[in-house]
Amino acid sequence: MTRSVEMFLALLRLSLNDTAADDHPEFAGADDKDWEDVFAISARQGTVMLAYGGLQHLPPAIQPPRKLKLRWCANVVKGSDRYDGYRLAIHKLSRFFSEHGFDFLILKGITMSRLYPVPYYREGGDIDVYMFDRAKQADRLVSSQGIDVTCSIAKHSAFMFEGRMVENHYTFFDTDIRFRREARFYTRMEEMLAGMFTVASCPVVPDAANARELPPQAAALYLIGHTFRHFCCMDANVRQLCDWVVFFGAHRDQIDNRLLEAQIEELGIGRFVSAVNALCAARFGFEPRFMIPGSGDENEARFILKTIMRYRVQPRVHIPMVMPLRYIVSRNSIYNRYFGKIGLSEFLRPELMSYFSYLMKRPERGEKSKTRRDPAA
Amino acid sequence: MKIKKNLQVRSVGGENIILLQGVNGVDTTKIVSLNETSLWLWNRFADREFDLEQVSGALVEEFGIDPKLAGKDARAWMDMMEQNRLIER
Repeated sequence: MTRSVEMFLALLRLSLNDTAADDHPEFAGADDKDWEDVFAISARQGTVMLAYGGLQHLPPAIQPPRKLKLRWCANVVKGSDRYDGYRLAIHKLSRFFSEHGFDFLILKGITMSRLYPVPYYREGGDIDVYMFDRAKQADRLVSSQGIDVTCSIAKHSAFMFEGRMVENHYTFFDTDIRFRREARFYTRMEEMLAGMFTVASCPVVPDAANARELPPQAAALYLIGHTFRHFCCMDANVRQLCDWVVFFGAHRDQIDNRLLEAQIEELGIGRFVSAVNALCAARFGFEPRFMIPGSGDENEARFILKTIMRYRVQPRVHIPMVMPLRYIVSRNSIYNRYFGKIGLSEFLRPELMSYFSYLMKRPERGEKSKTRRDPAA
Repeated sequence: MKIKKNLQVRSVGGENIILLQGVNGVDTTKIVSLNETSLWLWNRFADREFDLEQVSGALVEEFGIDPKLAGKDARAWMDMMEQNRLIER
């Protein structure tokens, strides 16, 4: 890991734990370029504001250059405004569904933000909702208001509400995946989740009208599955690790760790979960209470961090086919690691089909896409 | 003169800043940072008319400094405000 990555992770640790450290070896001798790199990494990893929180715990002598700090601060102010807008949109959405007699869940998003030391430090994105068994009815209701509802994938529909993208989930996970072994994995996880909650058992989200959230036990499994999915698609980022730390830290007394471990073992992702725990413990001071990592998990933790950080480094030269091939090979190595031995034909054919299907559907065909999308989605 | 309406000082992590947004969808956000004295003056003269003499007098009254120095500082503060288009006449 480079010095800037070490600095970046140290800032997040300070921010997540909201405590000052006695010494700061990661920051000793850092120059302006290192700090610019830290800022850039924070932006790529969706943690600009959280990292800024870490700066508050550093003594003046090792603060970043003033100009950069002000730029950072401006991003935090804008993020705070975005969060206010996000909350307002959720409130209006909740009221809208409430007036029409719908119960619904908010997945992650604000339910995760409010567990952070400073809620707006968690960068929000889309609003993910789950309407229990009334997803299609909700789509029709939204359409009847003159709002366009698109259904491009099986997992959820999408529409804009108060300037925010809302994803109305039919299922928690994408089970319509060409790679069958993975599809079976998420189908099983979906079945597990379905038996873990009822409307009445889902707590109401404070300050969000009638919106509810998953109970901690179900939310724990969902978070693990969600993180695993992003990691396998190679679009996980460090913010998801922070979510892990914050969520499991906040709900440590509300989760039945034995049940969770049994589910993780049945799903066969114990190695992954243990490695994420090891990584979060080593980097962010997290104290795992399930799938306790052993000494052998250090290498696994390094693999996860390396995969997350490497993916975000954009090549300067675009070489046709190299990136997709690299992507497929990397994904194959991830699946081999966590799903057991996978033959090329079992993996490669659906992967290539997904990739070409993605190319065909891509809205800007022929143009270079600046943001990487999940070809399997 | 008067501090422009709709400008907001935001205090985050020990910094007091004003964000001046760009126009036409281009992100040319300008950041003005206020130190403690500057922020105090900002709050003191928000929503009211003021001139150099009043700013200078306020500094003398609050910080008990020499009127000459206060006049110099008041001028510097008002120049900064004017340069950044934070005040209107």
